[in-house]
Amino acid sequence: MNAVNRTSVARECLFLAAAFVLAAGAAEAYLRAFAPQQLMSPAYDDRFGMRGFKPNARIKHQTQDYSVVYTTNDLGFRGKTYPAAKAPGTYRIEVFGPSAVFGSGVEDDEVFSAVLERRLRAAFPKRGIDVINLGLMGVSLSLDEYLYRTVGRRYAPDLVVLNLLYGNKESLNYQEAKHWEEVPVSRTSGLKALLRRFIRAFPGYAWLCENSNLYGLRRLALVDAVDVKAVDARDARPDPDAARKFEDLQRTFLSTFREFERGACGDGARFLLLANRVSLELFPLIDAEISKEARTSSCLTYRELDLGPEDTFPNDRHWTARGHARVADVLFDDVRGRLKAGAR
Amino acid sequence: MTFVSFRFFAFLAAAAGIYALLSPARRRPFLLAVSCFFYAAWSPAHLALLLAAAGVSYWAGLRIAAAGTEKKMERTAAVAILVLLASLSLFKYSGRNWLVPVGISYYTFKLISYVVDVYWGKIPPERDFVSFAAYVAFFPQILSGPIQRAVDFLPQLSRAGAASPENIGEGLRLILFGLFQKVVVADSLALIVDQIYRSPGAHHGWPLLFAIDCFFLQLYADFSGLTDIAIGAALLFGIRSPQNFDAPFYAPNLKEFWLRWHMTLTTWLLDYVFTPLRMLLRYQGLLGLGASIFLTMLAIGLWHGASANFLIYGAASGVCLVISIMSLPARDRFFNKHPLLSSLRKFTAPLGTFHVMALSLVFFRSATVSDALSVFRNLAMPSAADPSLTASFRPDAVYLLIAAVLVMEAVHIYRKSEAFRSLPRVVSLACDAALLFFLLISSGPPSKQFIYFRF
Repeated sequence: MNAVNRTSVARECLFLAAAFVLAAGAAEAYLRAFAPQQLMSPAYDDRFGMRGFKPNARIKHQTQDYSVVYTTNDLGFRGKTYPAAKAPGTYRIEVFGPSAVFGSGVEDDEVFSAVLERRLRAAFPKRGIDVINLGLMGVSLSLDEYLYRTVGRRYAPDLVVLNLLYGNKESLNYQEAKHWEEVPVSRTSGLKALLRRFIRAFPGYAWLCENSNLYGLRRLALVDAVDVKAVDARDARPDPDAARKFEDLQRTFLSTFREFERGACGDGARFLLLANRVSLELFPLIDAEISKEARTSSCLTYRELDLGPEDTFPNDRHWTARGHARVADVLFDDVRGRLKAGAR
Repeated sequence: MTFVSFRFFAFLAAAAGIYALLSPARRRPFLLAVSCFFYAAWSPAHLALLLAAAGVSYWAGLRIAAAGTEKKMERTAAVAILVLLASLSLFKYSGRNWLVPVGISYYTFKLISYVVDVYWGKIPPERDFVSFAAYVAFFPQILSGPIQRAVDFLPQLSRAGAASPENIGEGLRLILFGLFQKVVVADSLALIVDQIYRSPGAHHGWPLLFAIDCFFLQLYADFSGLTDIAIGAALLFGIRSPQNFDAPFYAPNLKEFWLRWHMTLTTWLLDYVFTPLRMLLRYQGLLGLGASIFLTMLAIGLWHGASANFLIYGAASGVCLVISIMSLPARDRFFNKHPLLSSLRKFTAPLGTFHVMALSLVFFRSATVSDALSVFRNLAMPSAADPSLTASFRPDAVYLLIAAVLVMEAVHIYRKSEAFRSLPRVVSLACDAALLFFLLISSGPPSKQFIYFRF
């Protein structure tokens, strides 16, 4: 290629680059005006073999429904840092679950764990009360169980609270869906990992995450569209074996749940399951088995949450501050009664 | 490595960049090597079959040229074509999807046309196997065409020149437009079409007609997008590929439509199926003509697959085309006598052609024949507003989709004109920016596989 051709090719590329800049500007303006995206500071960490947040981080999170800042503790969880050693006489509660438990959409002091701790400390001023939030965005039941074994157990909890957010029937827990947006770098490989590292090393990456609606929209495609598996609508026909597979899925879920429950109860804690009635109705086997077990078990307590539309944000369905306060009410009633009776 | 993946574009940029830097003597082996690498990334086990088919055709070409008698030439050509057809039938119509080598229909047709053209004396045999194999395996065209004839491809390859700056500019813009058609238009339309075709029995009246029309648009955007990416990628190697579509939605009748739709397949079938059949049945008059057309269309249907759906699709297209061609002179006479109706015909004829084709594609799209029949049954039933359908699509997304379809058609129409080629820089920049804008804000699910990829 001679010099004249090289110049012409460079000019063509320059024009395409200019077109890209123009298009990106127009797209950003369009999205801001008509379809604001979810924006969040890049503070992801891979400390427990799952996606968590960096310790002691301030994370901005903006969606159509809210704009809040999350503060993480020494371990990268929401709220204060607690010493592993429990002071004598302290009643310690640990809460596990997905983004609702983490407190997506609400300020640090509005998360139900913080509200519950305040209320219990006020009700029992002479007794030490810790409510440790181990909720993580996008965590699944099996990861919660793993998190209890690796982190939760160290704090010697008296009560382990698990909130379950059921997803669709296919994945049971939607957080385990394949298209999870921020798979830890250590779990990706090849070109995809290289691309992630490249994007994250970009000096304006944090700014893009916090401010660019276009990046918010495209970040999945930037990394996850690396390869596309053949999708044929003909394959999407009803599966004749769906009923059996659905039952198997529920049984696998129950088995993980029991493993978690056995671990916590074996450590001397009480296990409280906090579940949304609406999502439970989709899984009759799980509902029936856990309800039956809770009636006879001395360790397992089953509490239903019956939150209304005013308790959740209109678009992303996370709990509002009012929703968190209602969840805290349910737990407060349970724990206050027990503490008054001198039980766990 | 699909055409809408980052991996493909990284591979394409690297391959085109290295190709431009190589000396002409090294370009052909390099092109063969990258094409084999690309094919192996899809289906390593089937690379041997591709090279074997190329070897058989290469051998046949040389043997036909060396054969002293017509009989020997005929025998060699027949053996080669039978081997190629047997391999196509064995793999493509085996009934097992995993057994179907990627692009087998396309490269088999390329090879058959090569053998026949050498036999007919249209082209000399290619003596350099590397060039010949590079023609067969040329990666931008291997997945879904266009089906480029050897007579067109090999001379371009023998020059082995680097792509000119104009080729690169045009190629990049075609790739951009192809992506726009696929990601913005086809994949968005697929959301509507898939929702209705997933349970065709549950919909009635206009939603079904809407899905039928949308599928035709989707198929066009999907296939035309795929072709444009392929043509654009080929241009980066200095290879100009044949056109595959020529504004088919504006065809006034079915004959015109088929001359503008998937043109490299239809001209292939015209040359190697219809013309020989027509010669064979030339003494049968109109019946012979009708039979030749019908059988050619049946071949188009079967080319897509050996299912009853494709057979019916081919047969239905054949019947419609025969009726259209046979009745065309009478229709022309009628409209010539009625000038007012004739001017109206300019608008209604393309609309009619569109809907006849859209209806025949019901068999193409439906999973089973009974699904297709239920679509036709329900189409005649009273319409009912489908809340699940209206709830699924935000109005702004629908407006954007309509805008995208209009942009697609505007580009299709205007890029044929000379004025489009000599657009002022600012206008061309604005067009590129508009396509990129749509691409950037399209937020559908990860791209679906191209529809024509499986053929």
